[in-house]
Amino acid sequence: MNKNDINNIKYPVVKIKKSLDEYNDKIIFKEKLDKANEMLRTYGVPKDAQKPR
Amino acid sequence: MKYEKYEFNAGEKFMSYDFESDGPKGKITKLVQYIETELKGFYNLAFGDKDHVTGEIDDFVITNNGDSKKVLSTVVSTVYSFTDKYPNSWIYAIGSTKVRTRLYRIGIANNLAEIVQDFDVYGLKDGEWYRFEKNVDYGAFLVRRKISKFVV
Repeated sequence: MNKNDINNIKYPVVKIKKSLDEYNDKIIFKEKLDKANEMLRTYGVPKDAQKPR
Repeated sequence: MKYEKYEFNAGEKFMSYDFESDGPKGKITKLVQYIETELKGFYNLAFGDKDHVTGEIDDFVITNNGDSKKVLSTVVSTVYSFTDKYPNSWIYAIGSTKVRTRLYRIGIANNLAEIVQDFDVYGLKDGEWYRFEKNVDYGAFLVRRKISKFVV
């Protein structure tokens, strides 16, 4: 697959890099996560999120 | 998004991704993380620069590598990858600064016709969630993959 192919597809070419799993349970962006939790607690979620799919 | 994008790597659980921004300031590793919030099924999307020396990740740094659209396009690609793996998840996103949140809003607005083919997109304004519309100043974003668009 060349660069043009990569740019034209919506679904990405993904390479697996096992070392990235070290970040899975590590909160790297703590301020952002804290803010996200605060916002979700305060404002909730869209009404659509409360309906089953 | 129709812009160029970088190739990227994913962890085996598809929760963490990285890619290299390549521009006038050289090669800079970007890390993207999806982490579940207190609300089950809702994941915070965040990304930043990885310092090659210290390994620290910084999402406040202004990289200025001349490729912000390509970086954002690549981050959007990770949203596709993540929601392929976790199809019922909601992705929450906000910039580390108001300027960045505005940048994300512009990025979504400029690609809205394409994005809404695959995602339900909401913006937070005045304490309420609304379906995303152009030219509205939102404080945060929530997206969810549409079921009919999954590639099985």
